[in-house]
Amino acid sequence: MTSEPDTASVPVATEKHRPRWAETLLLLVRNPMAIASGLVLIGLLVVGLFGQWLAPYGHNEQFVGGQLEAPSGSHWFGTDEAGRDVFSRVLLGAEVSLRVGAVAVGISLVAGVLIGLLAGYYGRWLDDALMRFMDMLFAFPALLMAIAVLAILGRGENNAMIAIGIVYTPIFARVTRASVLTVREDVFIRASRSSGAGDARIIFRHVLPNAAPPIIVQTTISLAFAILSEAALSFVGLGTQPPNPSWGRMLSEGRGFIEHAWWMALFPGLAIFVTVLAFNVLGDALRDVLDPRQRSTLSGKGAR
Amino acid sequence: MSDDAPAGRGGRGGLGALTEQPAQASPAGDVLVEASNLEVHFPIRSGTPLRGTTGHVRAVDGVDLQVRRGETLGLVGESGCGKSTLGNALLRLVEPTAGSVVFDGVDLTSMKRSQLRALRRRMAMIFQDPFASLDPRRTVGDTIGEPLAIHGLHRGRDRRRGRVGELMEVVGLNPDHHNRYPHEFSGGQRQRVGIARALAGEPDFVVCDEPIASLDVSVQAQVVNLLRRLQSEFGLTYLFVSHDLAAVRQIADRVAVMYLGRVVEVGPATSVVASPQHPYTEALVSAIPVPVPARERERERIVLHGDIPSPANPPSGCRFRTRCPKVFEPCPDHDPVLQLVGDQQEAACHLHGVTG
Amino acid sequence: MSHGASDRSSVAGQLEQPAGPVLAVRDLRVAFRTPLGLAQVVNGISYDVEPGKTLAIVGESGSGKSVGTLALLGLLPSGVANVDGSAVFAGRELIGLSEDQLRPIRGAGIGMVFQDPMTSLNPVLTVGRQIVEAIRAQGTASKGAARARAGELLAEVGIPDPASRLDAYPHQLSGGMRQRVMIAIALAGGPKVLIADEATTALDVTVQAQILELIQRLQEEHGTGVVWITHDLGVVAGIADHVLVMYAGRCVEEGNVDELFDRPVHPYTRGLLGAMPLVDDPRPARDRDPLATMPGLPPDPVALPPGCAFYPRCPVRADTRCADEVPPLVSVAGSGDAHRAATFYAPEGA
Repeated sequence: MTSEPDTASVPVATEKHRPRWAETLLLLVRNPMAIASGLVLIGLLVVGLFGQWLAPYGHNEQFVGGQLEAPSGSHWFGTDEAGRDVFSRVLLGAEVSLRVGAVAVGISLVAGVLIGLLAGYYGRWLDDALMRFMDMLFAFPALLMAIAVLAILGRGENNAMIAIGIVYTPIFARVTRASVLTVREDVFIRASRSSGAGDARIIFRHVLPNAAPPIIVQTTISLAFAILSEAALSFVGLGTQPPNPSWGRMLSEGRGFIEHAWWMALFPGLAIFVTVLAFNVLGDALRDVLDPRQRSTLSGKGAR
Repeated sequence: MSDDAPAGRGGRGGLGALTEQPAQASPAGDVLVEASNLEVHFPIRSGTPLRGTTGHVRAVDGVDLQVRRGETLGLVGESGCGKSTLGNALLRLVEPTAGSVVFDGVDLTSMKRSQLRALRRRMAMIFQDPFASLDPRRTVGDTIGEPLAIHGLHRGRDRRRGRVGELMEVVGLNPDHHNRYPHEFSGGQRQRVGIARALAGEPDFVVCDEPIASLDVSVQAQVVNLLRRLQSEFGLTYLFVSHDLAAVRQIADRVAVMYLGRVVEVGPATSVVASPQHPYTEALVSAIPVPVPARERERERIVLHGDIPSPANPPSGCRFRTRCPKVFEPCPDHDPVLQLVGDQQEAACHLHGVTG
Repeated sequence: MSHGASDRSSVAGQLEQPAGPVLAVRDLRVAFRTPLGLAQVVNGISYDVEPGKTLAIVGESGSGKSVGTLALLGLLPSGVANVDGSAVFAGRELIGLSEDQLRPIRGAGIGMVFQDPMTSLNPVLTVGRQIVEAIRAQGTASKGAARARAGELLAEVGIPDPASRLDAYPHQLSGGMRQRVMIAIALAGGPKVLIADEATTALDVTVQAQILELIQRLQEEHGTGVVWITHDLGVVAGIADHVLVMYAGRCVEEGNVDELFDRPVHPYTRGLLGAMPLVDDPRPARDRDPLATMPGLPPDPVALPPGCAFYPRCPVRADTRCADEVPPLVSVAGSGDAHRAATFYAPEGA
């Protein structure tokens, strides 16, 4: 089938006007899954910011004689082997996990997008040099790579963020480069250059905004993976250090008691699960909304 | 039925600096743009990691061309003949591999990129595809105002917006629509946005690269009329690149015909079409359908045989000889050069005396 | 639209033809279900295709000219398109046939050539294989016989050295050659009707001239009826016997090619003709008048105006009924049914 049915060029000039971001938001809000995941993430943000006031007990507050208590009215998620309230620690751990996730993804986003932009826009030897280096980083298993970086930098939460940031940089570089490569060839880039625009204007006003949708989607997916990575690093003892709670650390500590106190591992695990799921669902919804073809179907424009 | 009458567009009084330009509509003006022995060769990469080149596509291969101030030079030819590349090379939007382009006395080819950027205000381009040539994520007001921002013209938010409104009016768009996005406009309206952008820097020279090829017939007519009106109002000089000789005939004072990277004929539009002096031009003119059934039936079409050869490996001697119905002995050995064959008409063909 | 009259008069003109039309379309309607409502893309068109003759369907994008013919062969996405009306091909009603019943008619009965020869061919199969498949789809031919026939077909459409070209892949051929291959595939089943949908639009004019010559030669040799769908009135003037001008899914004017070009009646047809620059007008560009233009855009097929679809853009608006009433397609005075138009306006001298 090749002949373009004539309906494709139905006049659209009469459509009512709405800014692009507002339309995006409107389409997103029409998707119940997106709303649900958005609400979960807002809730998590509130918990992350105000956890210490929301938590019924302090994260290191120990209840002597109250070790390994099953969930109850006073301890909703039970207590751990040191008699600490698991519910409070999950709430407080949200801050650590989300901060590590956000900072780590922030690092890889900035570094990766910059590398991808330069490689994709300028091409030639710069592209070869940058992307071969990214390929090298990418060739290592992610966790092994993070552990190697932490072996150099030393253990600790801040270094874990840097390590995770480095590990996820190549993904952003690749996604950005691929997107830039297609946008770079668009006629409107040539049009802008023909009016005398310099590289900086072309890159930041034209290339980046048009290359952004896959990067935005990658960001939400990477947030989920970064939280999992922090959990993994803490699990092997290289991330968040005791006695501070993070979901990964709690999961790792709960492992030893899984037969006696399932709640110690279940609730932090559940928190990770819900967060990762919410980010993924939001990422999927964003991808649909930002894809122009999907967008037309969603907003009911055009017959095809 | 014309919506492009100059009157009633209301813009003339408020065109700002645009009206300061003298309206030099004389087709016999001095030379504004001159290409000398211009070559654009694209390397063919082998695709192996070492990136060896296996040859060159000779998109433009030794072109001498003059565009006179205030005229429209039509550049016609079939796909792959290099006409679009030549149009881009005249603005140095693709880098020539040899030869020179002189714009209003300044050699563009030896210029630094930064100097060239400042000069871009005076030369503009209108593109073929009105869907691809506008950034989908920027409002049309932003797009039209971009040259103003780049060259620091009409500084200040209100003055710039006012100027964008004027430009929109000049090309027949409603200025109130400045904050709409390209997808909210029809093809013809988008092409008007592209034209307004091209006019924003008050250029002297505009390359129109197949500006009507993707539009419907009735919209094509609107855009051709608009371009003609803008030319006479602002004294613009056009290079009108098109495969459509009938449309070129409607707007161009002179016509240059390209075949396989070379200009094979150039001269006044009337005489090139009425009495073509190169066999290729003759075939091209004879192939254009005319919407008059009686004339179509009695007309003798010269049907060329074979395909256009690859520009990576053009034939020896005259490049048209493999398809030429009038090929004779000197053609494979001698590469013909443009020679005067009539009053102001030049053709590169051995039929007018063996050259090269 | 009043179509009772149109059926009879179309046939009346061809009474002396003993065979009669090979394809007769009556009151064809196509609507697409869209999220914004029902898009009425084709709103009742009728035409006959005579053996050995060329019918040109002319219109701009959005006029419904392509959709109307795709609908005949069931090539529109089912479930999205509602097709109504009648299309009788060789005594058989096409509208309402199932996919299985239509398959033998495509190719063997009605061949199609599309605009873009690049995407119409499968890039990973040789052209020989694709022609052989088209031949074998018609039934009985053995592989060897089909391949021999494929070579003959390539020779017939003017491809030099056909035997070796059978093994070429589409990307190894030029645009003109690919379009010849498409024509060879369309001819594989020996169709009685060939539908060419903007078949030369993507080609250069000199290549277009080759293809037009080829189609006309094949038509003379085989007596094929041709439906030529295009926006290019120049091409129409050269090849058509009968012309149908479409606007917003309706036929606004139809007639014998000379009648229609010499005495266009509908303001839209007149506008289209006036919008075309003439290459052989001897005046220099600066002495020519601006081209005639039509302001505005075609109507949205989801919200067609109640009256004449051209009314909002019409420079004439001859009658008070124009805004409320769809003008019927009626004979132009003095043309003796060779020429009909759907307008309340009667130009002077017509």
